[in-house]
Amino acid sequence: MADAPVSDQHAPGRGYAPGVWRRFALASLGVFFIGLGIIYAALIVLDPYDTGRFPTFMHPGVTDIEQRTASASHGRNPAFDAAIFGNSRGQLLDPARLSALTKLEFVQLTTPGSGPREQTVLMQYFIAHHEKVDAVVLAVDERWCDHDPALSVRFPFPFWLYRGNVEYLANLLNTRSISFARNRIRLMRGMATPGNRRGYRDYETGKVWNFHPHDAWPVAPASGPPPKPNGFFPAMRLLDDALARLPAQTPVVILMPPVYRTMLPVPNSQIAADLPACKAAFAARVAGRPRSAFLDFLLDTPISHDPANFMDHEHYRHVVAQMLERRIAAVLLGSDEPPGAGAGTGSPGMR
Amino acid sequence: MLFQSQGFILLFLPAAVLAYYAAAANAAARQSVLILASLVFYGWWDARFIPLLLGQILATWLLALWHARSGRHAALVLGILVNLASLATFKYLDFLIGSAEALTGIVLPRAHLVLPIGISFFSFQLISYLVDRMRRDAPIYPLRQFALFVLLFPHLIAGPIVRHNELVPQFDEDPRRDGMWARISLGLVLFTLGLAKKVLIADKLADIADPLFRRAIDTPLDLGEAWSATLAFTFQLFCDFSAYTEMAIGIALLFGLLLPENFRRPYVAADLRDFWRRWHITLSNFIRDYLYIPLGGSRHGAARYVLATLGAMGICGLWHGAGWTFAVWGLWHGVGLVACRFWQMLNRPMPWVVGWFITMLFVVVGWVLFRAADFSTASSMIVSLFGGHGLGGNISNPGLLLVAAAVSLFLPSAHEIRNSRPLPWRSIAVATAILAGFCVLEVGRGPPLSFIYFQF
Repeated sequence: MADAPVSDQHAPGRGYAPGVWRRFALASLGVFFIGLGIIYAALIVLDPYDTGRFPTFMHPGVTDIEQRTASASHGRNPAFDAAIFGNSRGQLLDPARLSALTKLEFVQLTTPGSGPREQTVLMQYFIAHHEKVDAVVLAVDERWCDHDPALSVRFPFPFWLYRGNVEYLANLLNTRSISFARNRIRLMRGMATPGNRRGYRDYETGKVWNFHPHDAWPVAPASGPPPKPNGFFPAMRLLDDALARLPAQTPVVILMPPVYRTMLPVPNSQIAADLPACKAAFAARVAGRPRSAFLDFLLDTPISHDPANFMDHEHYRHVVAQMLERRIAAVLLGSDEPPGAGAGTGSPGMR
Repeated sequence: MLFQSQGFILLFLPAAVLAYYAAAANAAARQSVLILASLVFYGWWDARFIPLLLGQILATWLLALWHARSGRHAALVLGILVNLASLATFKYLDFLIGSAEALTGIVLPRAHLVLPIGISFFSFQLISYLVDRMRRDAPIYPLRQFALFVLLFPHLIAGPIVRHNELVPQFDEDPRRDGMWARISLGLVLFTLGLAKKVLIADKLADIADPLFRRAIDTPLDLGEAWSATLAFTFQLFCDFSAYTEMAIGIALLFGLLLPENFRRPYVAADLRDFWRRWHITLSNFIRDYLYIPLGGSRHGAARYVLATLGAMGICGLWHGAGWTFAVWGLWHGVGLVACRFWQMLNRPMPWVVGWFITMLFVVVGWVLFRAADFSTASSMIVSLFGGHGLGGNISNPGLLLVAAAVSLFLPSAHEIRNSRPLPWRSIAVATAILAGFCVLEVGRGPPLSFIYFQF
């Protein structure tokens, strides 16, 4: 034993018939690689997220209501020719109402908590999957005016689901995909209900409104000398790349939704100094496109002073969403008057 | 590249093993394959630091060679200084600047250097080789073998800390020698056990510990929260680091190499000295051989023993992280070891359960210092642990904590399994494959969390 190599001292396996350990190792490796190979092949065919990348016998649609993954299915649905992008500040814009107002077919592709990187990836995905895009609505917030070139992603986002096949295949093999594939099989067999076909997820209906902000919320001007405006907005490059894939005639509406007054930029702060240039940059992106506009509601208006317009400090209610939809529709229809104006559906909060 | 990532398990490791065995007949070729694989493995993290890593290896080898040819002791001292300087610059420079700033009140610029991963491990291995040369206990190895001794990817990032004479002689052994399939089988089992401990236990425990330790920075925790956080971290650290070791030993066995034991169920220790004989064994041995004994050890009187223990453990603490909380954690254990030894000298053994309880309480309180962001968070947590911020609250996910406790206390270590005549049953082979497959699928859900010891 003393002459045995270091790695063989007390070596396992002594006393067993030759070939026993070989069969053990090969059985283990065989089950592992063949098992994973079968699962992987099944996932490619079952297409758990309904991305339509490879031939499949599955029916379109998903049960998923999580926008980060469900948009892979909704975003390639040929039934839609227009889409809404953004984060939760654009989430309550109803694609069905907007479709009724504009005679287009809207799908909701907003993603809560997302920023410019996620939103422009979804725009590119939608554009790549549609030969004809009749309108794009983008709801933006202050994160678009950030100066950090890294454009950090705050919450995990499955970029791989919206990019090339290699990235997709490299990320497909996991228990989440298996669970999604099972749901798609159940959907196909009528054992599960599909998610909203337009990707709409309403955060107000069914909830009890309970927003009572206390007046002590400080909106005091920031102290010190006024900050110097910074006109460097790296997110605009991503927007330019996405818009460049659209025909010049495609209408684009960029919307900066309202927030409750406590969420407005603090006077004399850096973001307050930067916001005018940021808004101008958005306006420049839509200038020259037909039936396009930058709609700015991130302002200190009566809307932002009425708690009844909001579910919380940041998220407006249906009454505001409907007003925004009418304004968007007016732009897309090339009309001066919002559709339905004068029919008892005027702008809320402006009383 | 993380051991538990899909890219490592499904692509890198099979490719490296196949290439290694394809070149197995030629020692130089198979060693070169392992060096290349190790550089790819390290470069996957940050290729910028490959020149630093190779530079330290080459400088150490050249200085050892100079010493061998000239007999000049200064060459070895210079080698030690080079490695210490690298470690001090990349790991401790900002810590030293911050400490100087705190002492003098003068605002000083920080270097903000990126910490090269694994620098504490490979620097210590190189220093140990040079010290052994001083002790005339280390030969001059061919450069390829010396480089592989440091670079070998199973231990490069987070140990076990391997001494040259444990590893280099194995490089000449043909991996296809008698017992190859037994070694590969055991390697697969150990790797899978480590993978499961990391993915299914340690990372889940992090979901309990991390948010509570974060909240403790500005909000005192209640009793239940404090114990949830502390116990979760106690088991997370063990399951995480011992999992890494088991995976490292398992991978090395696939290449026909044996790495030393690093953990032997430390949470069953009934006294603190026994705990350190079971916890991070290769570091404990390193500290003993290269710090504690040179500082005087236990053979030069009580005062010298106390100083040697506190000095060695203080440095051991700082090795874990560039912060005073780590130094105090090391000193905490130094004080505990001294107290333990003096108690044992009284020759009044206490019941095993009492000794185990005191040891665990001591260790667990120490982990608070180890994990907390700063002293104020640590003190707040410790006060919470003893009910100082209220006696309410519940233990989070007690089921998971119980499973983690059972695994920590009862699951045999890698070498215990290896030495216990494992059974070559096909059912075990299939169960191993299914467990590994499930872990691979679970890991694929999202970006894997890094091993805790990578930061050291």
